[in-house]
Amino acid sequence: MWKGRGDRIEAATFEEFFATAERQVRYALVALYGFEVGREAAADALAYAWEHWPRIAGMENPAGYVYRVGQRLGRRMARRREVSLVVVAVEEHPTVEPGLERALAQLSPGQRVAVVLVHALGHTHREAARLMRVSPSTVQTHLERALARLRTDLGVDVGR
Amino acid sequence: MDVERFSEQIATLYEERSEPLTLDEVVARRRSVDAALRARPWSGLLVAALAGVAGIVVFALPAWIGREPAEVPETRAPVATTAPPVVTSPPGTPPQLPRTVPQLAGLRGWVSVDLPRRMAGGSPVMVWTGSELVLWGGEDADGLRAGEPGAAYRPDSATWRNIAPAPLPATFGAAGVWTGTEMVVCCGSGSSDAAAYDPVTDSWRSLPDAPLPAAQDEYAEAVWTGSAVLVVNGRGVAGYDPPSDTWRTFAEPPEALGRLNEVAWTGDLLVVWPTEVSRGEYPGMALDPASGTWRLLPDPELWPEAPDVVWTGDELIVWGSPAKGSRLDLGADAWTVMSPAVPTPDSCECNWGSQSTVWTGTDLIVSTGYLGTGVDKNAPLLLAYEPNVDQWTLVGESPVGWGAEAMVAGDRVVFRSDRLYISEPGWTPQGPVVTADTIGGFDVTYRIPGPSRYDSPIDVTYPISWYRAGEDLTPNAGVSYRFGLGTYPLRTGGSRCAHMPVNAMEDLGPNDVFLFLEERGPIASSVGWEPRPATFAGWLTGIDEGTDAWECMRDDERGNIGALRWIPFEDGGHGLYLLAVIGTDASDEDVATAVRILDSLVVEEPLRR
Repeated sequence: MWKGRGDRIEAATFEEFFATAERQVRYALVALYGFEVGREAAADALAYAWEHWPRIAGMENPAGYVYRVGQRLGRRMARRREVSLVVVAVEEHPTVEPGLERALAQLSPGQRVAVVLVHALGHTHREAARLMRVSPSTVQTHLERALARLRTDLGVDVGR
Repeated sequence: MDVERFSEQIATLYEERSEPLTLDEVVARRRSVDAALRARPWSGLLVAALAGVAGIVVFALPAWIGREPAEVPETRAPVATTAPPVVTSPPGTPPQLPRTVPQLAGLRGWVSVDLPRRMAGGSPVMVWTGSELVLWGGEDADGLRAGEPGAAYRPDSATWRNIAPAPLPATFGAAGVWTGTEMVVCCGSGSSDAAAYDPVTDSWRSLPDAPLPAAQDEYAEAVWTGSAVLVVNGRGVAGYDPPSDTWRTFAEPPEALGRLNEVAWTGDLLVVWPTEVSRGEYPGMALDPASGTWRLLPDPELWPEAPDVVWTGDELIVWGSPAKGSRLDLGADAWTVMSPAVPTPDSCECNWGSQSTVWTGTDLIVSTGYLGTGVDKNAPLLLAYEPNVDQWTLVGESPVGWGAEAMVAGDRVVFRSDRLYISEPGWTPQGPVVTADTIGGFDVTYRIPGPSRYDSPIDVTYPISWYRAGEDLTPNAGVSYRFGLGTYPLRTGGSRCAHMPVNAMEDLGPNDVFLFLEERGPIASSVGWEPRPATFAGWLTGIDEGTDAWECMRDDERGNIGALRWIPFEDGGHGLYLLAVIGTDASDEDVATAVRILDSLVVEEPLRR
C-alpha cells in the first residue's frame, strides 16, 4: 500500500501503483508533450513499468522513474510528430477562461509541469519536486514565474 | 481569479482533454509490442542481444547486414556562435576584477560543434586524451542504440571520427576516465561491465566486471589517481589496477551513497558527496584508498542543494543552489563560506540547481543554467570564482543552458550539452583587459549569427542588465531576424502582424525601451536605402505613423509609446530595418544606452550577394 505521496512510496502490486501514479505521470507528460503524444508516452512508460515491475517496485521513486522513461519516449515521439499543446478551441467550454490553454502552452515545459502537478492535481511542492526530480525551491520558482506569465498573457489576476 | 478558481480550471482542462489510461490498455500495449518483436526476427535478435543473451552479436550486426556505417556529422569548419564576452568596469571606479579578468578575457568566443546524432539526446561519457575528445555511450536503460559506436573529436582539425564499437552496452550513467593511455568505462545503469579504449590502436579490451552491485537507474563516477581507477556508484566504491587487470573492493562508506554522487580526487583521498536533493543535508565522505579507510567530512556551514564538488589543489569547493557554497581545508577540517556576492543581474533567470562547473587551475568557472525554455529567458551566464581573493567575476554569457558537462581540455574549456561548445584555445594566457564606456553595469558583446552559414555575423554590445530575446521575435515573418533587446523580458510572436514583434511591443511599459533589428538581405548597393548614420543619437524621437510598426498596434496599446521609429538603413551591404520603441517615461539614461547599443553595431560585409 502507499505510505504517502510525498515521502517514500511503496506499492505491493503494479495495480496499486497504477491506480495512484497513472494520472500523475499522464498529466506531467501531457504538460510536456501535448495531449496526444503525452498520453502515448505515459501509456508506453507505464507499460514498461508493468513489464519491469519487480525491479521498479524496489526503487526509491518509482513514479519519478516512470516519468523519466516517459520523457525519453515522449522526446522520441515528438521528433516524429507535430506536438500540439492546444487541441481545440477552449471557448467551447463555458467555465474555462478563454485563452487559458494557449497561455499554458506559452509556458516553459518545466513551468507547465509544475503548474499542472500543483494546481490540477493538488500536489505539494515537495510531491511535484519528487516526480520532476528537482528541488522544491525549483518548483516554487517555476510556479512563481508561470503565474506571473499567465497573469500577463491572460490579462487577469491569476492565482491571487 | 483566485487560486482555487484557477486550479479548478486547469483541472477541468486536463480532465476533459486527456482520457485516463486503463490498466488493460497499458498491458495490452506491451503485449502488442512483444508480438511485433516476435514477428520481426531482426528486432528480436536485437532485444536478445541487448538483454545480454548474445551481447556480442549486436556489435557485429551492422557488418552482417551490410548497413551503412553509423553517421558522423559532416566535418566542416566550426562556426563561432558567441562573441567574446567582454567584461568592463563602470567608468570612474577602481578595477573591481583583479587578475582574473585578463585571464578570463581569453574565454573569447565559443565554437559550436554538432554531436553525432545518435548521441545528441543522451549523456555520453567524455574524456580528453590530450588531442581528442572521446565520447562514448550515454543511451538509456532500454538499451536502445546500445550497440552504437562512440566518436572522437579533434579540436585542432575540427574533425570527427567514429571509434571502434565497444564490447559493452552503452547504457546511460556509465563512468569514464582517462588514464593517460586508455579511456576506462564502467558501470552504466544496471551493469557492472567495464572496458578500456585505446585511441592509438582504436581498439577496446574487455575488463573484468567491477565488483560493484549493478545499480539500476543510477550514475557512476570515476577518478584516476595516477595509478588506479576508482569507481563510485550508488552501491559502493571499487578500484581498478591496470597493470594487474584486477579490481579491488573497499569497505562500505560511513553513510549511504546516493543515486547521484559528486566525486573529487585530492591526490590522496577520494571525496564522495551524495547530491540527490531528496537526501537532504548529508555530509561528504573521504576514502583513503591506501589504507582503505573512510572518514566523514565535517558539516559545511552552508548546505547548497545539488552541489558541484571540485578540488582546487588546496581546498575542496562545494557549491550549488541557490548560489552558495563553502571551501573546505581538508587538513584542518575547517570550512570557509564563499563570498555570496555573486554578480548576477536581475535579468538572469538563473537555475542554480543545474549549474555546470569546472576548475581551471586558478578559477572555478560556473555556467548558471537557466529555467526551462521560456521565450523570455535571458541567456545563462558565465561566472568565475577566484578562491585566493574570495571574489566572483561576471565573465559574460554562457554558451550552454542547464545540465551541461564541463571539462578542461588542454588550453580550452569544453561544455557538452546537446552539442559541444569549445572555447578558443589559449584562454589562460594573459590578454588585455577590455574596457568600454558603460552605462548600467557590465557590458557583453554578442555575436549575432548570420541567417545562414553564408551570411556574416553582426556584433552588438549591450549592458547585461538588459534582456536579449532568446529566440526570434517574429518567427513567422519570413525575413531574417537579427536581435531583440529591451529593458524588460521580450515575448516572441504576436497574432496580428507576423513581421512585427507585436507581443514584445505590447509588453512595453512606460519606462521601457525596446530595440529590434531585422535584415532584408544583402543589397547590391544603396538602392533607396539610407546609409547608416554616424550615430543614432537624435534618431530615437517622434513617431513614424503610417508604418507597419505603428499600424500593427491597437489604439489601446499605444498609450505607453512615447517614440516609435521604423528605420531602414544600409550598412556593409546589408539592408537592415531598425525598430526602436521608447516608453513615454523612459529615462534619458536608458535612451542614451539604446543609442550606445545601436552605435556599437559592427556589421561585416556579407559573404555573398
